[in-house]
Amino acid sequence: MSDDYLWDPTAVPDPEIQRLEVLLRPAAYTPAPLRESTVPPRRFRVGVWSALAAAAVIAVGGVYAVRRASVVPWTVTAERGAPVIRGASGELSRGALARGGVVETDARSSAVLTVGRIGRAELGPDSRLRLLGNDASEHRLALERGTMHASIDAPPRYFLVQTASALAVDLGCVYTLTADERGDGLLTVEQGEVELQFGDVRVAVLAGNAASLRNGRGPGLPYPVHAPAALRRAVAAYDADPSSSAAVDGVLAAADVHSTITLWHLLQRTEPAARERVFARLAAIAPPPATATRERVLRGESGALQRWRTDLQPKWADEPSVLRKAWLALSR
Amino acid sequence: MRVRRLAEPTTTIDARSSETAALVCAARDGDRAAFGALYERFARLVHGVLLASAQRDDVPDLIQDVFFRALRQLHTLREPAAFGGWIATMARNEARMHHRATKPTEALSDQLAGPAPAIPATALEMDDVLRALRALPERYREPLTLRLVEQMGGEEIALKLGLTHGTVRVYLHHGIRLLREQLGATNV
Repeated sequence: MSDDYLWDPTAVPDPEIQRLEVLLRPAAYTPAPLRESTVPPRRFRVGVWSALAAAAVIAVGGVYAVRRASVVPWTVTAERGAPVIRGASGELSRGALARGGVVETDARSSAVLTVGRIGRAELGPDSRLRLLGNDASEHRLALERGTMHASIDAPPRYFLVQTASALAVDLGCVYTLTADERGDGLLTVEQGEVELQFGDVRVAVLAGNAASLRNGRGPGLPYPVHAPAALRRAVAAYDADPSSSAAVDGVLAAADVHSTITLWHLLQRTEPAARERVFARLAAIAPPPATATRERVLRGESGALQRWRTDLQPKWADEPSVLRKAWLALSR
Repeated sequence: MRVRRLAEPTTTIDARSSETAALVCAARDGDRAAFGALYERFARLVHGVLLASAQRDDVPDLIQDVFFRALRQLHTLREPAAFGGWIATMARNEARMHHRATKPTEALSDQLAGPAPAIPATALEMDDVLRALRALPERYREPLTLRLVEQMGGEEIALKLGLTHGTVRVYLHHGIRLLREQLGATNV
């Protein structure tokens, strides 16, 4: 079965996939107009404004009530010790976490949060987690300090955790996030993928990889969790001083065929002079596809970079064993 | 120390994102035509996402419900260019709410047990394949439904769902292998 045709319907057809396409063709979308009831008229007569305003208040109230009702509340249980739950106004609460509320653990306590219908999050000792929002479109939290281990089974970009230095966007996975009040911390992904966002920067951290969070500077370079100590030291040195040419060279020297995730991200961050060295190192380990030419990559063309990444990414993830996955599923 | 990022050239994809953002802003201001254009642009995506979870007969009404909800919540969308991922999430939730009372389809494990068998050459029915698609883990079934049913390419799926090319490629690759396994196992 050809992956080229699976990716690009204009490529040479794969007979098996074509057979499925033909079978499924009757189920494809058939353009139909948007019903008038979906899009209300834009302009209204001034004479009915007051009635409309009253109706709007009722409608908004109704939509709000339905929306509130459709959101399963977060429940918090103590795993150890006595975690404290507070509402948005600071009042003590028991068992349920409301929007704006906080769960806080001390050195001797930990808590388990049930995240709506989508999974759970374990909050370690000395941690504070705030629920910023949980509506139909997303669950958003702030890990203000401490450690959170999340097991999420939800659509991509539905579960978001903000720290002082990056936003962790769940793409369907199991991961551990630690952060302190200043924003320094670490993300380790056990299953699936998490995207770290900081301004325009996007860092993909796949299963079996980690990335540091740096106060005011966003995510560091991702690296395999089981990378040799030399690579981890080199990444730490680069994260501490990205402008250092020696630090770039340190990463290049320590990288190998198992750490192309690190080199691909480094390629996007370096100055033009250093970028050539990064390109040469990565190309020596895993040559770019024909369309991702040296010139296009060095110019930073996103299409070329993404095309190269597409080839590299299958080797980035190190998913856990079947037994580990089964244990994770049972523990949810 | 600042994190550096290479400048991205203007591409067709960027242009499409900008157009979407402009349509969202106009629709927020009450422009019906702009909302209609968003519907035309994203109805196929919403159809595919719904079809990955809901019964085929229910999908046309659910599409209308999703856009009805989207119109009313458009002001809550933080990044107008991210309309695709946002409305796809609404579609998933709509399908979930619609089927809350029914027994959910049992999801397959995403662990592959060796090479998947070839898809049987005997008479497969469309509903058999749709059922097998809906039984896949969520991360695989949506991209695969958009590819096989809605005939979208990988790039378009990535753009509209807000995922990277690499992620979509991996999901398609694993998804088709699981689908083959499922169709082979049911021996339809």
